[in-house]
Amino acid sequence: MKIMSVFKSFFIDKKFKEDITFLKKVSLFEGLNDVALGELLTISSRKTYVPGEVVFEAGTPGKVLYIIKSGEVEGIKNGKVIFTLKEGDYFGEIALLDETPRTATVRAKKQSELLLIYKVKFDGFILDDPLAGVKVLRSMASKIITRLGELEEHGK
Amino acid sequence: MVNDKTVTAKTIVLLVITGIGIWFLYSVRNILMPFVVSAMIAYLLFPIVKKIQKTGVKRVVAVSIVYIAFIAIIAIAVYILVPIITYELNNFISNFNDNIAVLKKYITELQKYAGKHVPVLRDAGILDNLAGKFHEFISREISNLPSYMKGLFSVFSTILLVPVITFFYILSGDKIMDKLFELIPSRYVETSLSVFWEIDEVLGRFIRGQILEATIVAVLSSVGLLIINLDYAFLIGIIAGLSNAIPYLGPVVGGTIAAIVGLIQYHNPVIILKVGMVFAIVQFIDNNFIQPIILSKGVNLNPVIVIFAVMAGAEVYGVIGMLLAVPSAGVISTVVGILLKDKKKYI
Repeated sequence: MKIMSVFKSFFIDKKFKEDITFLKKVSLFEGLNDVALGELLTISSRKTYVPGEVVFEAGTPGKVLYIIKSGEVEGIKNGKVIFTLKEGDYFGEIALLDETPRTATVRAKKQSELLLIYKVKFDGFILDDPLAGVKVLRSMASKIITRLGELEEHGK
Repeated sequence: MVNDKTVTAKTIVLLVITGIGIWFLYSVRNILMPFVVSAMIAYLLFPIVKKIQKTGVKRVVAVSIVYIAFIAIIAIAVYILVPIITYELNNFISNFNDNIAVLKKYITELQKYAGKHVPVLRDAGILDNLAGKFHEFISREISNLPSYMKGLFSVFSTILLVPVITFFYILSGDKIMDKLFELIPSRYVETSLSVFWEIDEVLGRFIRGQILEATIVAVLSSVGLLIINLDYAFLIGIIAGLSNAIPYLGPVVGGTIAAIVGLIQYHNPVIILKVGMVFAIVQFIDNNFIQPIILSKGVNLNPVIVIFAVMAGAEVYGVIGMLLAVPSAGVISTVVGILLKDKKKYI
């Protein structure tokens, strides 16, 4: 047991493993194994945003998916806060499908660390691991269907 | 909405910074070689390091494993190839003067033969002119040999520095990018990510593809030249492999050198046909099987731009410039494309 723990501390990246454990809680990546989550970590970038800092403006073409590693962000449309997201949530996922203009402005409500995944790198991820890619796209489709349903409810 | 004056000021600042960057790189071009070679090897090894890293292994351990394996492969290749290449080089050097004399004699014979069968060329003085220029070329290249030997010394210093620089590129490359990324204002984050990852894709595909392609072409050329029993088959094969990285011109270089060596060895123009066949087969295999499989031409550029880039590279930095021309043009094309597409965001 001692030998195993010494081996692990020497060879295994503890922080990387913690990040994989974090990604398992993100609903978009439900069902992905550790290797696929590890692949996503290697293609992601990190950026810290201070409170009030704008992540992206409404109307700008989207190319990046954002995952909230820590902190909180809020979505703003026509001057009103329309959603608030916290650690483990994600936003901007439509950018993984198409570079359509963002529908809302998102800004950091608290000091936030975000993981960023660029569309072209995600395309490469799907090519390398089609099964994992399909799972992610299915999760995304499921969320879009839920949102459409909510919009229809509001419309009634 | 940003006003016109701010956009103009920002554009001028960006152009000035880019200009200073290019001027600086041009000024230090003589010491860039080890850094360029290290970057190429790092690009070759990055994907393997990432594959190990995604299993949860520490980066320094993943880099060490890959690096040791790579050095071992190079050591084995050197152990096998160095005796053969040393033998061919020694042979070449000891027979050099005799070979040059044979080549000059052959040119004179060719001149007489052409003059006899195509008197128009002799009467117009074309043959004398051509023969004179060829003798001049040979004498000039012989007198340039000391400076080529000096260039070899810089190759040795490159060989010593490259392993060290490569190791630190692979180990720290991601951390440096993360730190740079934190400094970028959030407004430019997505564009910066696009530029960074698109350049990474273009360069990565090109470098990995070119290294693989050059190795395969070198092996095929050497085998082909051995079959037709040409001297210095391995040396010429290596030159053919390396020069294959230069678009359009590269494949001709290996063939020309092989043809000259063949003429000296056999004193018979039939060898040119055999050499031509060998290189035609190598190019056929390269264009129809190697390139489609390994996607070596990852840089999608108009052929006119490629030719211009290669000529400009030759003008700026000789043979090295020609090798770097296409990836450089690919990077510039990618960056300009992304910035033009995103410019509306900043206006």
